[in-house]
Amino acid sequence: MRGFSSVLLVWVWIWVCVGVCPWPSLCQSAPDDLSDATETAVEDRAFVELLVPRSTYFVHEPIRLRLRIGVDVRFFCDQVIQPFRRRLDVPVHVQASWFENLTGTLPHEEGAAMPAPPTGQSAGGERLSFVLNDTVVEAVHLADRLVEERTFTVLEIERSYLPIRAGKLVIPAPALRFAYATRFRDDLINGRVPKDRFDAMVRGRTLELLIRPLPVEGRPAEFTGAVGDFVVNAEADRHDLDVGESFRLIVRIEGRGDLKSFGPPRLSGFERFHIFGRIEKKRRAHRTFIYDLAPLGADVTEVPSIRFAFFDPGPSAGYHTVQTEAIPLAVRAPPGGARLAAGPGDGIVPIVPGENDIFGPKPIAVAGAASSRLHGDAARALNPAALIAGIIAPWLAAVGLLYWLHAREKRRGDPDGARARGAAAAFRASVRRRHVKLAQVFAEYLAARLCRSAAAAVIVPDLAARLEAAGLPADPAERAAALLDELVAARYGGPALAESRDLNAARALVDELEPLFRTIDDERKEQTP
Amino acid sequence: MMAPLPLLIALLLGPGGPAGADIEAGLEANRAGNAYRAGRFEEALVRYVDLLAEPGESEGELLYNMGNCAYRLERYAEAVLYYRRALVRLPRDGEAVFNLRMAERQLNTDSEAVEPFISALQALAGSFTLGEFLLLIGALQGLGLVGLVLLRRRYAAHSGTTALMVVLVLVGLAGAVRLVHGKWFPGPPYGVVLAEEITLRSEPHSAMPTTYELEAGTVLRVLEMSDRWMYVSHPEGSGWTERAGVGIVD
Repeated sequence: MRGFSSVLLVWVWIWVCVGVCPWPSLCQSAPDDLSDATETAVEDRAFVELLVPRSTYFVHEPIRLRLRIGVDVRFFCDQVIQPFRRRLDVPVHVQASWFENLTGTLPHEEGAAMPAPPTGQSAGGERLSFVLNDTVVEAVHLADRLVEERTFTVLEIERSYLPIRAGKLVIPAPALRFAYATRFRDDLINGRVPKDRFDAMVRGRTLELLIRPLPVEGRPAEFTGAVGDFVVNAEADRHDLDVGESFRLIVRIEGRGDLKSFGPPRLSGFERFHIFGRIEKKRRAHRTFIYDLAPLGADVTEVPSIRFAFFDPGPSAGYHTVQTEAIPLAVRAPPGGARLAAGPGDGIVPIVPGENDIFGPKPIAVAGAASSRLHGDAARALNPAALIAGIIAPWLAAVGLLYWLHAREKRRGDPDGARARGAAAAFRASVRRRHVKLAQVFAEYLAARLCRSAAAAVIVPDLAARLEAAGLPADPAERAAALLDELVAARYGGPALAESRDLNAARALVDELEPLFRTIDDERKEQTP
Repeated sequence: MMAPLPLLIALLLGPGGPAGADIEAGLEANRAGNAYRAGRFEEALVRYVDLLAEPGESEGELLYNMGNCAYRLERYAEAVLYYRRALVRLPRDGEAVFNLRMAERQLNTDSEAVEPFISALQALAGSFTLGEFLLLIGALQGLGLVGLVLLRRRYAAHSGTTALMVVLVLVGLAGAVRLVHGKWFPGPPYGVVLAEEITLRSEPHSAMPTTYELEAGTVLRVLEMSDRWMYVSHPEGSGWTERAGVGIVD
C-alpha cells in the first residue's frame, strides 16, 4: 500500500512539475494568449482539399488522389480538444466515406516500379495520426504552409483508383471536424481541461473528373486491355532440347499502370509449338505469364518474339506495341526419324459452345425504353400493388363466383319473381316482332306481374280491382284493364284502334306501370324478414 | 448485324425523344457486340457497363454478356458475379447456367452436390421470375378456390378432389407468403468473392485476427454492411471482411 502511494505521489509530481502537452507532435509549448481566436474565423483555422494531377482520365488509368489537410498550428495547440480517448497527433476527424471504396472505380495498388510524382516537400518523412472515417490513419507530414502570417501544418494521405467506366466521376467533398474551447482550467490530474466546447466543420470541394473510354481507332490487334506504360521481356528456361520436350517460356510485364486487369499477351507465330498450358503470377511490380511449351519439330530454331500492346494515357495518349526478342533454340530431331507422339490436346480440337467453351453473347433487344424497362424491372422487382392484387385476385374471384352461384340459386327458387322482373323485357322483345298479337303480349305482361301462370287468367272483368289489390294506384290500374279490354275486343271483332296507336299505347302504359310494379316489389322485399 | 429489325423500325419512326435514345442504345449495343467478336473484350465490357447504366435496357442479357467479357478476360470471379446477377433476371437461361458452371470450374469452386428435396423445391421456385411466380401462385389459388366453390355446390361427396383443391390453395398460399416475405422482409443478399483471396476477421478491423480465408468465386451470404466492412456467412465460417473484395449479386 505504501509503495502504491509513493508511485501515485511521484506520478502527480511529474504532472505538476513537467506538464503534459495534449499533442506534443505539433506543439512545443502551450501559449497563454488565446485572443487570436477571436480575430480569425474558426473555419479558416483548417482546410481539407482533394488533389489530382489532371481532370481527365481514361478508363483503367490509375487516378492518384491526394487528400490533404492543414491545421493552424497555434490555434490547434492552444484551443483544440482531443476528440477521442486515443490521443491523436492532429486532433481532427476527416469524413470521406468513399475514400476506401469510390463508386465507379476499383482500388489500385501502385506497383513498385511506378515512380511517385512530387506531392510536396516532405518534412523529414514524419507521419502524424488523425482520424479518417472510422480509422486512425497516419499521413505524411509535408512542409508547413504559411497563410496570412499563420503557420499551417500540412498532412497528406494518398489513394489510387482505377476507373472502370466512362463518364463523369464525382468525388464527394470531404469534411474536416474538430472541437475547440476558448477557456481552459488547469487540473491537477488532467492538465488543461476545457471549460467550454465548440464543434467546427470545414468542408472541402467536390471533384469532378471526366473518364474517357479507350479510343477504338488505332487499336492494335495485340491489345488485351493494358493501360499504362509497360515493358515486356521473355526468357526460356532451356535452349537446348529434343522435339516434343517441354520448356518454360517466362514472359514478364512490368511498368506503370494497372498490372491486374489486362489479359495475357496473344501468342502469334507459335504454330510450331504445342502449348501445354499457362500459369500466371500477379505481383505489385510485375506480372508474369509462364507458358509450358514444346517444339513440334526439329526445324524450330527460335521462340518467336511476343508482341504486347498497351494504351499509354500519357500526354501523347495512344496505343503502343512492344515486343520481346526472339529466343534462339536448338531442337534435336527424335532418333531414327521417329514421329513425335501426339501429345494431349494436339491437333485441332473444335471449340464447341456448351461443351468445352462458354456460349456466346446474347443480342441486346432495344425495342423502346418503356417496354424494355418493363422487361427488365418485372423480372427483378414486383410492384407492391401488383403483388397484393395478384394474391387477392383469386380470393375475390372465388367470392364473386360464390355470390353469383348463390344469386342464381335464389333466382331458381323464385320463378314467379323472376318472371315478374323479366316481364317488361319480355313485352318489349315481343312487340319488336312483326305480326304481334298485342292483346296476348300485353295480357302476358300483366299475368307475369300479377304472378298468374297464364295470360287468359287476367282477361277477367275485375282486372282493375286485381291490379289495385296488387298495389297499383286506381288510375293506371283502370287504364290497363281498359286497354286490355279494347285489345281483346279488337281481336274478337270489336271496334279496332289503329294498330300503331295500340302499340304505342301499350308501350307507354307498360313504361308507366313498370316503375310502379318495381316500387311495389321493393316494398315487399323490405317487409319480408 | 445485331437486331436489325428494331433498329430499322426505330429509324423509320424517326429520331428524337425515346426513339432517338433507342437508336443510340442500339448502336452502342452493336459496337459492344462487334468489340466482343473482334476479341476486344475489355472494350466490350466497358460498353456493356455503359449500356447497363441506361434506364430500361435488357439487364439480364447485358449482365450475361458482361459475364462473357469477364470470362474471356480470365477474370473468372467477376464473371461468376455477372452470371449470377444475370440469372436473377433470367432464371431459366440454360446458357447463363452453363457459362456460370464454366467460370466456377475455372476457379475450382464448382459444386455439383446432390441437393436434398427442400433445396430442389427452392431451386424450382427460384427458376421463376417474380412476375411468373406471382402468376403461378395466383393460378394455383384461383384453381383451388374455384374448384372448392364448385365442389361445394355439386360434387361435395368427392373428398379426394376436395383434398386436391385444398392442397392447391395451400401451396398457393405458401407461395404467396414466400413472395410477401421476400418483398418486405428480404433475406441477406448473396455475394461473390472477387479478390483472389479474402480474410474473414472476428471484428471489422484489419488488426483483428483472421478466422477464415475464402478464395475468389466463393458464394456467400452478406449479413451486414458498413462503408468499408461487411459481415459474411459461409458454410465453413463467418466473419468480417473488407467490402471491396466482395461483389453483391443483387
